Amino acid sequence: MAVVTLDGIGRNYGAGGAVLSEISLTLEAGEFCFLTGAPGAGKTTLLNIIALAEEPSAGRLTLFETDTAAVDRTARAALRRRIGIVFQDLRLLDHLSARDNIALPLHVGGMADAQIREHVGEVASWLGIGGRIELPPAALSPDERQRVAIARAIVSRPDLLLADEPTSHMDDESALTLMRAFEQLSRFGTTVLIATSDLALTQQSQHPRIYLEAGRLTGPENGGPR
Amino acid sequence: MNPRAFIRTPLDLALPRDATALLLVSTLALIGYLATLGGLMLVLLGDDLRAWNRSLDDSLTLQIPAETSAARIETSLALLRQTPGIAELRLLDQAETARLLEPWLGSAAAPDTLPIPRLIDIRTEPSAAVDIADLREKLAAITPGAQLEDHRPALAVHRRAATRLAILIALGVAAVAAFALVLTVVATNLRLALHRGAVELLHLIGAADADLAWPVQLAALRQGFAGGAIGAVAALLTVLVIGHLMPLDAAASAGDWRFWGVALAVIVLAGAGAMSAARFAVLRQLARMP
Repeated sequence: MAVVTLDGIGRNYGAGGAVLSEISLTLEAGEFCFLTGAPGAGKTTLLNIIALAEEPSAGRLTLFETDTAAVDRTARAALRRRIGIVFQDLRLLDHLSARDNIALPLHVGGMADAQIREHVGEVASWLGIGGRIELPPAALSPDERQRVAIARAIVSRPDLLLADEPTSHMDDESALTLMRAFEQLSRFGTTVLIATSDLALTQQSQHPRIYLEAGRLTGPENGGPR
Repeated sequence: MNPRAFIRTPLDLALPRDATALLLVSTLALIGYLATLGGLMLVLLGDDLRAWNRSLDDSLTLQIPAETSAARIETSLALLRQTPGIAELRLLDQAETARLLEPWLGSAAAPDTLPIPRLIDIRTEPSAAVDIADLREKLAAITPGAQLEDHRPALAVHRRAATRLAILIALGVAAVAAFALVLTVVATNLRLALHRGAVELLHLIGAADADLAWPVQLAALRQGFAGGAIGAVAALLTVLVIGHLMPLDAAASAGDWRFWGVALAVIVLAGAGAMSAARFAVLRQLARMP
């Protein structure tokens, strides 16, 4: 099943020129893919469009075989609930504990409190922050805050995981550990798209890379066209 | 919907209390105070109008010069008894008339020192069409100098004035209610601006507009009830204290269920209005998000 289908997607901001042009791409269920490119190439904009955080100026976006332009706001919210997002700026809520931050997607999904506690505990332990989740984000290290953001993105076991520079605050060892976690999610059926400019990270992986240059997709960087 | 979620939703977590709550409660309290005072004034004004109607609407007064003989007075009374539409007559004795004049003349208005006219209090049947001009002529023919006073034209002036006052009060209440709605929208927008990051995050992780609006609506409902209750109780106390210090015909009384009804209506409307305005504001803000 195609989880993400981009068909001629473009994005421009007024007279500022096109940030993205003619992006066409399909990601299947369980696929793992890197989105690479220089800073300013449009990686974050592309992730935002796929995450329904931004409207494309042109083209068609299909998520889970649903044309996103043809559904109402309630259905778009339902589509978003199937997506986990790791934001580049993390977007943790400072007045909440790490536990409550992680639990937000489950609350939004209407899960019962007991199940939420169980899920949050499991994911936090899996990501190595089990003993720190009662603390507010301000009391955590940058590495731990990033893990909290990742935990929040995956706690609801999304069908699609979008991560924008998810290892930017991590050392190489932690980054690799997290990549393993993402790969495991992918094996369970989650489609994973990771935007990163960390070439070392992508080179250690056999997963395909999509390269964005000045807002245009230049094809998988290794392995040729898929 | 889960009954617990009706009172408090998990998304409350993401939108913590802030200074806008105090701003909204205190301003709604002031507006609730003014609205309750307006409502209570309408109740009291209605009472006054009804009291005037009861005392004057169906009444006429015949004033007969002091020197008129008993026979002429009796003839006048007989004419009045035969006039269709007249229900009741009462000839006031001179002592009673003197008492009525006392506020103007003092105790010197004794029947034996001043020529005090005789008064006949006339009650007409409700909505009876008595021909006052014709009656006035006949009475003057029997008793020269007799004056038949019809209070209804004067009452009509009072009634018009009271109606205008009631309309002004009602418009004032409507204006403060509209202001309360606008204020709630502004306070909600301010709250959403303060927590813009949280709102955007919840939107992006899949909270439906209605789910996101619900905690904001509930907070506004609680704040509306609180502000309305503070204002309504303060207004009730004000009116009851004034009624105690300055007792009037239609004096305020804590036993009057209508006063409590006005206060309760203000509290309920403050809560419901704040909730609706907050919902409008939050949905309008969310509609700007993709």
